[in-house]
Amino acid sequence: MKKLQNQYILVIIISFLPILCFKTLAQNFDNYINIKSSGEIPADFLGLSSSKFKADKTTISKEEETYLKRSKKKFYLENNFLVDELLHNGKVLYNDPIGIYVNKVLDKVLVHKPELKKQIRVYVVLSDIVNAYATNNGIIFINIGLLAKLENEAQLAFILGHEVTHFEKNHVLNRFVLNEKIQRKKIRINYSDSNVESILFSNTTYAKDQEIESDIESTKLLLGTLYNPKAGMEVMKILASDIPLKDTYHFTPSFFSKETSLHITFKSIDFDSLKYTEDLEADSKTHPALSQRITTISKLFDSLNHNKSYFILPQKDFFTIQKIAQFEVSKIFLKKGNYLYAFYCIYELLQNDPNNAYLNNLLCKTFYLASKYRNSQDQDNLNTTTSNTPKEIQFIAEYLKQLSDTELNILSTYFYLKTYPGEETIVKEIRLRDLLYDFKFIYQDNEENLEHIPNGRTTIASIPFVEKYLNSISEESKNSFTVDNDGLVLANKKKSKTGYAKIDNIIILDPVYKKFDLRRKTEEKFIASEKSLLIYNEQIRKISNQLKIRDTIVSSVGWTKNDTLAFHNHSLFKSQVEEVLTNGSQIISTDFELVDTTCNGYKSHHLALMGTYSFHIQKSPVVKVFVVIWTALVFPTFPIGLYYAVTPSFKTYTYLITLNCRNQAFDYKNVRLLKYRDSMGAINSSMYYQLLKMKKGK
Amino acid sequence: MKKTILIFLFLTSLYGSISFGQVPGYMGKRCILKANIHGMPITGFLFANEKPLDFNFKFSVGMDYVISRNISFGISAEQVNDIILLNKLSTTPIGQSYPAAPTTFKSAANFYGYNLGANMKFFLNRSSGALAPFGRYFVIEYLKNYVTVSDDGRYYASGNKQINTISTSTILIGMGSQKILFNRLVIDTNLKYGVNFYGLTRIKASDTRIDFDPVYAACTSKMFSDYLFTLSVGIGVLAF
Repeated sequence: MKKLQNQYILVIIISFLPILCFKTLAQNFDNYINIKSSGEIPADFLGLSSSKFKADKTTISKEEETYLKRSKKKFYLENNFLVDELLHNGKVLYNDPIGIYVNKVLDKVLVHKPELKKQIRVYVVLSDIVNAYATNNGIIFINIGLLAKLENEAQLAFILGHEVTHFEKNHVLNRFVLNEKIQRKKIRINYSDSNVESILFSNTTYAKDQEIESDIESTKLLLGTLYNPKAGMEVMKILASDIPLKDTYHFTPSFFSKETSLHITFKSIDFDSLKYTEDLEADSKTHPALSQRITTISKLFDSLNHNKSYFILPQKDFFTIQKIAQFEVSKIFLKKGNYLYAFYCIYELLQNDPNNAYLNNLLCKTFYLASKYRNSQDQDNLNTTTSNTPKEIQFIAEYLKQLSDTELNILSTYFYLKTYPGEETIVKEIRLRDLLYDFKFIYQDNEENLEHIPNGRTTIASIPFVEKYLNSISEESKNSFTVDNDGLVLANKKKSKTGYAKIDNIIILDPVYKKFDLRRKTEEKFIASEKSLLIYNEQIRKISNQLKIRDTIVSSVGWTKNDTLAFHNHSLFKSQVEEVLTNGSQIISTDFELVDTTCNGYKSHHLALMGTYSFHIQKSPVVKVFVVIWTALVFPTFPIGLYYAVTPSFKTYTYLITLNCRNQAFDYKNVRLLKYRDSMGAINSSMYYQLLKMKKGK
Repeated sequence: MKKTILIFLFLTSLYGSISFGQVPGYMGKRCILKANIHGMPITGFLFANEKPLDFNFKFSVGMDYVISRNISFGISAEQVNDIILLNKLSTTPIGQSYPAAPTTFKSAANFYGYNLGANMKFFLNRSSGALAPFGRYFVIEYLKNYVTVSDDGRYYASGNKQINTISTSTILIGMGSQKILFNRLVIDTNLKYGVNFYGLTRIKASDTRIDFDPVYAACTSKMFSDYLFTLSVGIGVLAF
């Protein structure tokens, strides 16, 4: 009896195990929280780029030819610094749910090559661009935009196989070395040589050959697994289209009016008449035409006899990851100010899940963004459609254009009030207040659109859902829509004043130090820049202490593996700055609330961007000779002329810009040009002055 | 004169204190104590019968104080110790009203004294991003010269006899650059063009003393050439 009981207990435990296993991929989409990195920071993100370069340099064989050694050294230098810059750009994730899944798929792809698998690390990048790329040191970056478009696991496997081949065959290094050879040959070639074109274009041809080779090897890898090799051809067709997600639910304009009771008559748009070319023949500089790639892949196997699976891992896992990627890419479009693409993605996702809080929240923000662009009448270049824009996006854009300013603002207000029916938190309502403020003036100026308002009412307050909202808030808030009780002031509402407030508490985000020698072919001085950056960070701390400015430097320099929180905050602040710079400070950013909370932790709402760029410039020899001769003729000035001819020319820019995260205004901006070398004295002098001015206010 | 200088110094430092809000100095430090060496070859050779590479070195100590974002005010004390070459020997003692007939005998005398100076440096903020006391500047300087010419036996053959005293002024303008190393050490280099009022009389054709008073002639040439063109190199320390 006891034995039977134990057996039952064992069965129960075993039956729960799958649930525990799936826990990592179980995602609560109703209360979706954006994915982020977790656990210890991997070694790829840590350490100095110069140390990584030194390690790579040791792999160069002394027996190789001089030009090859030189090219490799140059490659390792640029590669390590640029890859590190990419890793520290705030968009790369590690140990996130998508990354974990992708690594599992990679395990399946490289099931026969475990040694190769150990050399490769895959990271997911929060980018809407449909792309994946491999570096020479075994890192594969795969963009969320690409993952959102894939339809099955085998397609992902093909892409990973393709990138693995680039790494295995050293394509990146080989292409670089060839390019160096061509550059040298270019200088010596005789331009009357009939072969010059083939030399000049051989670099491009080589890149295309590498792509074909990667396609072939990836297909061979799939043939050795249980994945269906047809996935490769399907990937090409997916890549041909620029649509971010598959168009499953065709957009209808009734979406705009069905709930708001707005009487809007839309002029019908013929979807098929919209111009767009899905061009499988298009030939890019580095990639062959997709049709050519499809043909190459199809020759490798007999398509009739391949009925392999598109899934090896549980199918549900793939679709969870796909949905996460689609949720994330919707937000990425919004943060980039691309509300048309964002709206398309959100619309598609909402059809399956109309009550999803996250999606509805994003929808509010999308309408808010669209209204703000329309209200400001700034040229909205990002959301202008052309014949290169997918038809589905053009279709939405044409209907949005038909909405008047008033109608668009009403819609935006409606969706916001629908999502936040009561006066919850002040911060949640900040976009609504901003909209109503803009709306007040547009409404008053645009009386001809009044026929769309129910019952012909003529005041903003009399629109039913607005009236309900206004009844729920305080009298003070009703009239101003500018300042709330917590002192959150919207920048565009303040009259512009000269001067800025005193700032003595800042979060310094990723100080920058770059040195360039414009006389050389490789202009950027990577190692010198890195060394200077380390000293620069110390100097910032010293000067801030001296001036009694409380500062926290949030930077990728000096991270240890346990600095996960710093990693997140770094990414958050970087995306905030990028969004404010892209969309303007008049538009409240997508992650405003999260940034505000994070800043509270640092006890400061001022993000400071500081940096130095130094350029060593070539003086014109003609000018130098002229100056020497002239000053020699006017004798007493001759030493000045000689000094000018002999001394090098430098330009150093130092900047300090502070972004107030509360009102998104750039409170303080100071950019100084120094016509000197970037000596410590010059930098300290300038930095001290800038920080002092910031502290004193004006 | 001393009162005037003291009042001027007081007012400039007061101005500096009042405008503290926007006077950064170099990391808060505004006072530099320094020593300089001045000189220039060729000009002595061209105008004062000196050797081509005779630098006519002068040494000075001084203090600069930053009074605004791009202005500093300085004072200095300079020592002059040189030899003056006299083309023609004259046996006329000092005080004798009539000149004696010159000879062609070449002689020399000691030329020494001190200069007191005040200068203003205008740092080129707009064109080169300089902030006092770092960077390129334009300087204007006033020197009060007190020089004595005395015989060391070669003129009157009696040794240490004062031949001439000169009390004059010099105005110099020029450009320079101040660099700061290790957050403390200041290196100052500048090139100045000067006009010495005593030396200016050298070019007055109507002044007959040049033809008949070789000491006067030599002194005017010396003063003219010494300050016409001066290269200065200084080393200092940021005090406070």
